[in-house]
Amino acid sequence: MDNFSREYHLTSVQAQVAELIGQLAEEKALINLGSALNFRLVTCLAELLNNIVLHAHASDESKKIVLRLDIDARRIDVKAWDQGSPFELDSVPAACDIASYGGRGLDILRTWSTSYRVHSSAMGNTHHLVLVRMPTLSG
Amino acid sequence: MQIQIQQNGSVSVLCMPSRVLMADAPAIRFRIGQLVKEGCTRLVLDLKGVEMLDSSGLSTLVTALKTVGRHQGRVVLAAPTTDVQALLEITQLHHVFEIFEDVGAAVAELSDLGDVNAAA
Repeated sequence: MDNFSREYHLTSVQAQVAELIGQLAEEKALINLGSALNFRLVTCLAELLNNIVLHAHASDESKKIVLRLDIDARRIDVKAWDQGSPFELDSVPAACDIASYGGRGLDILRTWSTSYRVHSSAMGNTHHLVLVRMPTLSG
Repeated sequence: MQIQIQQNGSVSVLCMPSRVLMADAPAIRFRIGQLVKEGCTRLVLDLKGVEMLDSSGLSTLVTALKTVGRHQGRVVLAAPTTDVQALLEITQLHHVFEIFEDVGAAVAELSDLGDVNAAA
């Protein structure tokens, strides 16, 4: 399997985010991950970018996002940089009402990623999301 | 975005689009709101074609449920893919919605509701 590395630069426009998610879902390297992992990754990417647009950037469309995706045989590494205010990821509670209108995004990220961390600074936030690929049997 | 609606007697089947993300949610919510205003209160949300779905997309499903519920109606989900079903389960929405394997079964369920009410 060929490794995949790509960086994307976008603004906090919801339509642009959706377009990128659509492109990524059809990217061959992601399709080659298999349906289940492709879907999990694409959903996590959508949640990550949604959170940046809505919360870190408070829907300020002028603010920029950089997304980097690295895929190899063992793991999927996602990094994203935003221009938002610092925040403490651990202080964001899990959704408590399963029938609520919203609040599920972070739970999805936490459930479907192997790890999700955020490092904040005065310049913005660095998001690091990892999905470990299940080993395949050979022979 | 075009959201196809199929009418089966008193039951409306919404064929959800392949992409149900944050950018798409307002249009979907608006369309569902229109249907409810038109008196369509038995809705099947056909998820067969959904390939991308995020938490905003999930919230449109919940909004449909609550909006229709306020009009004494019912909303059910039909034909989710394995991946979409997995997302419904990790968010516990499989406890909130009735989910049918196919649209036919969902339509039959909501159609029977009308027959039961008429007989009562």
